[in-house]
Amino acid sequence: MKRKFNFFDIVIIVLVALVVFVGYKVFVDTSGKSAASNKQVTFTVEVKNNENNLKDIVKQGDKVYDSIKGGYYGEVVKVEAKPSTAIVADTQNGEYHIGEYNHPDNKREDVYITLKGNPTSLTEDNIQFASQKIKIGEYAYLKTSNYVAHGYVVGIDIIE
Amino acid sequence: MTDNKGKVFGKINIVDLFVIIIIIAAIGLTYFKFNLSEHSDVVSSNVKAKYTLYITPLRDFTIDALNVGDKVYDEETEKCIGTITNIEKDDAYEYMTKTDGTIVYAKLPERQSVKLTVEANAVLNDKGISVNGSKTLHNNQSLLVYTQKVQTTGQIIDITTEVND
Repeated sequence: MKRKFNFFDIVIIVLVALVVFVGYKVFVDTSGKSAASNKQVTFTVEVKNNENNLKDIVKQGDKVYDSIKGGYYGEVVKVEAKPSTAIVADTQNGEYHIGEYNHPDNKREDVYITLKGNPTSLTEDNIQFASQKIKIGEYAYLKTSNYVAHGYVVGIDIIE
Repeated sequence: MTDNKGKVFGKINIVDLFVIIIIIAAIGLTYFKFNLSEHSDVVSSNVKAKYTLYITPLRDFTIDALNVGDKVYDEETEKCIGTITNIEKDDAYEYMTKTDGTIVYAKLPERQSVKLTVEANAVLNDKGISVNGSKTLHNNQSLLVYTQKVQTTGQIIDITTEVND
């Protein structure tokens, strides 16, 4: 009876399996750390210079998604706002100082939206929701069924 | 070289032989890329590199999220390039052109600069100081780096090596 596989076919299968295994270890399992997605993470997004009463539109409990990739972030746990400020150059005196915007209705605000959720991946080098990494200093794009907002991440806490 | 059944030297099918050669070449290329390409002409191995990353300007919440003991990763290679061993904070400044045309170095309010001391095991070769076999570090080099919680750009302003015991 003719064999289905000869010796060299088996060699090829073993080599391909080895390449797939090595490729997985190198390109996928880069941190070597297991994800701890049962931990919760809160992070705060600063939405600068909003004039549309965003702080009144955002509600605790709102389910928030990443508006770029669609992944689920979590729920809103806190909303705060304060008057918008900016660093202003006083070119007369050669100094920088903090300036406030003189809107007639005092409407321009920096809104801070704090979310709480379960990251899909929590490793030594990254905190990730779906395929989106969260880092202080990076932008986050938020979306609910009611509104969108974007801004820098200004705080991250891992709830132990 | 091939018999009438298409087998090279009567033993192996020519297509099988071609696939085996391709796979071996791919394994060799991958090993070379990840293990050998940064290590040509090694001058000294097993050194400890200590470098200072200067980052400015930063807001307080970013500085508060950086801690001694945090691992630093390179955004380009996604590999660890050391551990923070010291954090030194200072005021942040920026140049401003005054109305009289002079250029002054003025302090920025609500901003600070930091110098992160980062230490890593490294290999010293003719290309420079190679950390984790993937990133070569140089003075004056700008790096996009991240920790678990922070991503920022810093500049290497000082780098030294000492031989590991």
